[in-house]
Amino acid sequence: MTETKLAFEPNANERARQGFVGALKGYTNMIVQSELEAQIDQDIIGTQPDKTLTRPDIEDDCKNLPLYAFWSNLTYHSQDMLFDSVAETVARTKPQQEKIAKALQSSDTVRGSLELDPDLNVSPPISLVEIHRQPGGYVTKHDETDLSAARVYSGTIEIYRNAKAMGDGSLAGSDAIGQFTAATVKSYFPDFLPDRILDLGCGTGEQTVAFKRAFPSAEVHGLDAAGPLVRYAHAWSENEQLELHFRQANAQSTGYESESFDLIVSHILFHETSRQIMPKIFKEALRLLKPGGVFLNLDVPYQPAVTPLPRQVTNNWQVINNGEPFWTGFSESNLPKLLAKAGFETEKIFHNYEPFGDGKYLVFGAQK
Amino acid sequence: MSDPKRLPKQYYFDDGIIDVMLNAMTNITAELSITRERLDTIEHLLETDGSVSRESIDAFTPGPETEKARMQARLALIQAALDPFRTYFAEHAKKAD
Repeated sequence: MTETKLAFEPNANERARQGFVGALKGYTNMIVQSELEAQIDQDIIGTQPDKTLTRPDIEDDCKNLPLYAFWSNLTYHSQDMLFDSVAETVARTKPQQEKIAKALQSSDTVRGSLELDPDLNVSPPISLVEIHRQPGGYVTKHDETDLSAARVYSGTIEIYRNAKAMGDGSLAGSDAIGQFTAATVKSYFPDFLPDRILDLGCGTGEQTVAFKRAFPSAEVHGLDAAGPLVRYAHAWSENEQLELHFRQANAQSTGYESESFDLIVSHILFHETSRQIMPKIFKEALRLLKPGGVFLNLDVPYQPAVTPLPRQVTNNWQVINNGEPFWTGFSESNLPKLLAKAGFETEKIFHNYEPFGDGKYLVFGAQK
Repeated sequence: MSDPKRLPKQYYFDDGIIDVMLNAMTNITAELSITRERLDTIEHLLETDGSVSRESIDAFTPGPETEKARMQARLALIQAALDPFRTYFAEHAKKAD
């Protein structure tokens, strides 16, 4: 057991339980869901060949399939098991890990900075629902040193991604997604060398550190509304011996100076954001960017144009049942149009799908 | 600021007891999987060290080959426990047509 580093370190039984949950989620997502979607295709869509169907037209019929109930049961229960299994490790290692975090953040050798706003009025949905059904969500804390919300997120996210073919086999604490986004920035803008970078909705900061690694001379900032997450993000960057700066604030009202960033990124932020707030964040990003600066976001690739109808149904289940309140709203938003409406020039807007691991991500944004 | 709202537990079958029994089956399968892995660890340690202790079991980290075999064993166990339900529910829909 590492005694001086922040790390997610399950013991043998916890690792076995988390491994089981990953396998159960893989079975549910790959085997049961595939069979269910084939059945929806054949028995519901296939019996109405003359109609142009949309998701709402078939959703009620799908709910009558026994296989739909079976898949729903497994998806729902495996999510509970995921949080329970990771929470066991987080609770057992809480005293040791929070002691390490405290030492990292109060050390004379501290590199970066942390600005907390305990009175921040956190916007919905973060403040209203348990996102992903994580018990307590991302804002609950039991005391000022409690990092449990962040550590549970960190422990669960790669298990979830890998079982959904959205990962690359990484373990907790990986910055693979951030590396992928940084590589995408370099691929889209080969001569671009940002001096100041902002990661919006940085969460645990585990992806934010990838930008300091990819652009070592840049000043890298992370911002998130959830206090426990942004506090962990700072400890994590210190743990990784990197200088990063974190702030607790809402993404639509960051408090940074206008034209102060060359690059603004986000990772799976906007599908957790309401349709009311998303355009405000786009405007804020435009305000923060220097001329020529880049706004690049990575998110879920579930837009109807690239998603078969049965998958739209199973995706929408997540909205109703699994703490993803804005997943469908995001997927059905016309992002290029919203970016243009926020003030980005149409010809400088991009909206692409990029392969990652066994799946793909949506990459969208614009150059100012 | 108050904590986010906890959603009520969801049931998906018309008779919620089917959800409860499926959850129980899944939980028991998880416990069996964990126990089998612990037994596998004990066998590994006995083969390599000739003895075991709680500490050595908890500290054991499987190598890539062992982890790969365990991943396959987990899925095989899940399929043994849950595929009969999956097959029944898939065929039940066809019979109802």
